[in-house]
Amino acid sequence: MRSGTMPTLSGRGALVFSLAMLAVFAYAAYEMNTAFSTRARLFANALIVPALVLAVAQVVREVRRLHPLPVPPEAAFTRSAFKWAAAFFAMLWAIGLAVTIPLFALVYLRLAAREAWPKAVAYAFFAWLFVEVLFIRLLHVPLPGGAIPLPAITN
Amino acid sequence: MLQWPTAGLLLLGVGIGFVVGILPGLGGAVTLALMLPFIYDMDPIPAFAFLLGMHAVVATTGDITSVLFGIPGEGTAVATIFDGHPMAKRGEAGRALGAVLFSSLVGAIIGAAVLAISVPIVRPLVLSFGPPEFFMLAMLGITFVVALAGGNLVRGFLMALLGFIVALVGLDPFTGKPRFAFGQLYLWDGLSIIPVILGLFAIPETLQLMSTHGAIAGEATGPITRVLDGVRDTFRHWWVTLRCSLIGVFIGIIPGMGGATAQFIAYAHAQQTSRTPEEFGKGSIEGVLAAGSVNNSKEGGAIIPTVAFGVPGSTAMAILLGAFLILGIVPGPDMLTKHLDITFSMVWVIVISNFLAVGLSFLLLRQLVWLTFIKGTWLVPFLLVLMTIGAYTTHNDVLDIVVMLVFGAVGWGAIRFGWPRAPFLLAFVLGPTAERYLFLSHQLYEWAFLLRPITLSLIFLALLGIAYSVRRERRDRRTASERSAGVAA
Repeated sequence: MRSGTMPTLSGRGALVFSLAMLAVFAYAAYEMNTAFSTRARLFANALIVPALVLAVAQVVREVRRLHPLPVPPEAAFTRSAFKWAAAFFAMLWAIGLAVTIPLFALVYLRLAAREAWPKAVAYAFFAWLFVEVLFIRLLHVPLPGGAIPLPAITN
Repeated sequence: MLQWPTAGLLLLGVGIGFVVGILPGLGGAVTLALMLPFIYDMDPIPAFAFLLGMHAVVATTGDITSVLFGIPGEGTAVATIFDGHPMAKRGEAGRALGAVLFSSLVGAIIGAAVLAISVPIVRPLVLSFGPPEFFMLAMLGITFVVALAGGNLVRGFLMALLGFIVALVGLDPFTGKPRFAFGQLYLWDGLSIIPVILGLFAIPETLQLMSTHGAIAGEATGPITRVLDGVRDTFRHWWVTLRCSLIGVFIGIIPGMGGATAQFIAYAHAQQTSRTPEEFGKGSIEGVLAAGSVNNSKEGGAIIPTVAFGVPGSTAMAILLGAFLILGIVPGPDMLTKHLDITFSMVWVIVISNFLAVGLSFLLLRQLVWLTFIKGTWLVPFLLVLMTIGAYTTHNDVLDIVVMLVFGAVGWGAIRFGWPRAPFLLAFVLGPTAERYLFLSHQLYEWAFLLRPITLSLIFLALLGIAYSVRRERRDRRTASERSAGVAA
């Protein structure tokens, strides 16, 4: 496996995931049983009671097994994948989707996929064209704008 | 079906499903989720022509890469590798492709025929059901999905319970008070299915694509000839094709079994009943036919509980159920009476889309191979755009993207720590209906609704499913410990 990957499944991470699940059920139990009538919480309580029991059992099981496990192949996400995904959504928040699409496509293909400039530029252009023609012109779909206003570029 | 825009949307759906099936790494369920936002303004029949047309052909073309490269285009096309790829290696790729594609078509037709025939049979049963029976059916569906799909039983049930709790977000239907809304007006309407599905399935899948570099298949294939021989093989071994198709239909009906299981059951059955079982795994044409026919016949079967009882048996069917809800249609008795035209349109969609897919595959077989040389990373910006626009257009609200990201984290955690996602999705989709039916059942019969004969039978079936799963878990654990003890010795 390349460097930057996460080859083992941390037992602590699995415990945190189970604890988060338990916390959600505990909060659900609290809200339903403090703010709702017996009739209104009928369905919720039918779920929450077994959920709390099973979640506690799962947490106990995870506590008793605090050691790394082999990562299944489908769970071998690389750290760079998270960084690129985070970059996309950060760009989306900052400059909006219309500008993010060609810019991200260009930078991602050039740096992450190590494509040649002409291919990356062509891809970025067609990505922009695809969104412009299909979503903006034909389907009239509004695209999310960014926190930084770029009125001349975004529609 | 042949009117505009239904026919055009069917063609579009088939085209998308065709490409998605060939591209390993891009799943049919994810694509179905990505396409959900496009159906908002459609009428039901064109919408289902588009979605089901796409879904129905994914498994058909998924077999192509299984045969040529030994890489399944879809998880349901794994069994095709066992004999299809050895045939390709010994220069019979064309014959294997002819057999697998034509048997897929036969399987799809048989699945669609069973779906059509089942309507008058299932109708009196569905119409005799009341809220207690529908509530228990929903519970049975979830239990089967958790119990039969494999994996850890406790985690499966916890994911289902989480799905139900998430479905509770929004205004309480009986008191009008907001539940789990955290003071956000956005959450008063509840969470929309599209950002949730996109987060759970599309985000982890995109992260996986980002984590793999290089082309999907790097191996060059030999000439593709003798395709018609494979078609003739389907007729020569018609009995295997028919039996495996029927196995697919019946497994498709059972929630939780799904295509991944069906293919192995049909393959094992074909091997057990073959006169030449020793050839299986080395390039047996019967093995190819079994895998091809079961793949597509299961779709007809899987639609029956989804349409008739509103209980989807797989991730793809849960997404399709989401489409029903988006279009304002409630699956159940209405689908067999008031909306019978939609139900029968589904039969035709399965048949027509498979005819189109198989016909196109035969025509473009040589040209299609290049699709597998597309790098996974090339799809990434495209998928990010589709999922962002898909989530955003739910309410034209940035919070939809935030919801997608939150459930993306849940989906990532679920994959990373071995928690199943299908029970969550099914429970999330079924949550509001189950709550309504429980409320009505309790209102009508108090807790005595649990003692009605059909309800009791369904509870018994659910317990049976759990018992089966517990037994299997214990057996697997025992086998694993025996194996590790053997290694240590």
